Amino acid sequence: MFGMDERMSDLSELASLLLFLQGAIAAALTAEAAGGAMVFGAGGLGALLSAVGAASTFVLARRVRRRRAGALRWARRLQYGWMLTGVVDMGLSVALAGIGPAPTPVLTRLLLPASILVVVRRLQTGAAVAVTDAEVAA
Amino acid sequence: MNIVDRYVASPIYRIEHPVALVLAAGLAAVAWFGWRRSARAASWGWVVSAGGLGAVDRLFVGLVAVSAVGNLGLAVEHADGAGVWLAVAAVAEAAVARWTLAGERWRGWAVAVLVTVLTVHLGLTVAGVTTDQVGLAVGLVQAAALTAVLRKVEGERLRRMAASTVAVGAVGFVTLAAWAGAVVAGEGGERLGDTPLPGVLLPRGEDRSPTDAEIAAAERLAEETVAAVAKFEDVEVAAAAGYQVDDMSGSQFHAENPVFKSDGVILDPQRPETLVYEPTPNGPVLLGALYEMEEVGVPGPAFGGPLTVWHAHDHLCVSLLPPGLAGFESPLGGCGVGAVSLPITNEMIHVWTLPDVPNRFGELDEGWLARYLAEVSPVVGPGSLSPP
Repeated sequence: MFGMDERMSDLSELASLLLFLQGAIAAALTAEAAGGAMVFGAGGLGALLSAVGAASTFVLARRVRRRRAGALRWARRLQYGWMLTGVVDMGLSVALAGIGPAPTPVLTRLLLPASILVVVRRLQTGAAVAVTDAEVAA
Repeated sequence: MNIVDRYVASPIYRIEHPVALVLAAGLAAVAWFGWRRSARAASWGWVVSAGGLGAVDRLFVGLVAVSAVGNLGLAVEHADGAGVWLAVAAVAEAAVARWTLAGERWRGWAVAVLVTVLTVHLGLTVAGVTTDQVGLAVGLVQAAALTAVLRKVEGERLRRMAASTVAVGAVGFVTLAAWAGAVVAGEGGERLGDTPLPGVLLPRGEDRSPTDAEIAAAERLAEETVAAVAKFEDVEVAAAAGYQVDDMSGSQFHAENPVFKSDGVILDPQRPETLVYEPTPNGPVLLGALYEMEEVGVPGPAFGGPLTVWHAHDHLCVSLLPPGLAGFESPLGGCGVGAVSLPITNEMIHVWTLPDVPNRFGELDEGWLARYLAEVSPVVGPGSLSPP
């Protein structure tokens, strides 16, 4: 059986992996946005912001591994953003085109962020319990 | 309106392998519920053996198993050589999952199997087996499994960075393969029965020979359009008429006229909704006009039969800052930051007005356009993709 610390370490590895994967997806989206901007002459602001988003996600993946409280908070906020924009895009698709969401966007925009959210919440809860235990011991 | 019934679209945004989807999603659901159950009652053999693994390794087993089942489903739906490859990939992935559960030395084999499977996917794509949303999802799951293995790499910093780079590259590789497959499969034209390029919707139907009346109607509209828009070769005249010609950029720039887009009149050569220009260092070159319907889902009049097939666009990205078209939606889902996805547009049809253009309607031959521009406006050529 895992002890509390091993379990938290295990979860932080998982959260870090999932965030890293999200960063890789964001990097792919950045490349596509850059390609679109070149072809359509749309300017590079969208691609630049996407690149910043992808880089930030990689940084978060690294910091979440070390269970930094600020990183955990930002990781959660980021997931709300992914899911909100995903729901808006999928809602527009259903309303205007009459088609439901495709499997890959469901994975990347809903399931992956939801999974990260669950794991990060458990990490935050575990950290709070650890602090309480430490206070009791003191 | 259901665009699946009405239009043919690029497979990159569509589900064309429902069996694989049901199998993979079904296994994922069963594994999830089984795992939660076993957490309370630790009683299943293989699940118990997974209990000794860390969370990342358990996720890896789940991802590889889902990928194996997905590949098996894809193999069932590909009764050709591709099906054999997919079946072999499924068996190899199942073996990797089993080795992992057995706690044997598996990481090297896992990387070898997953890299081989991803490479075979790209090979199949280039060979003409198109990737739909299900194939893409399976590829993404494989990339995620590879990431789970490579993130475990320990040792010197350079080695870890290389592993991370390969993991990021795997996701990019899967996306690139999907785009490559869609572009290879796309026939580019705008004839009924074509497989359209990503972002293009064609009405369902079969190609046929036009009647004399249809040929005459198409030629009449083309001639009237050429005569009517000639004055817009001067962009100042176009601007005075209400076309948005400021800040021309990209290739085949579409200058819209907001008044004509909602005036209740369609197919009027005196009032085309959009003009198309090619920006060059020597000034914009007028390529033609675009007629557009005023509501989504309303079919354009088939005045020229198979010669004048209207098309729509799907999965476009519209940038909010600055406002405008920013590209196509990623098959992974979503646009870049600051852009929203536009799922479908009105139907539209191009009329190309350049002298001696090979086809007046439909897709403009880019090779011909490059040669034409090299003559009339040396130094520059067109881009490789056509915006709507």
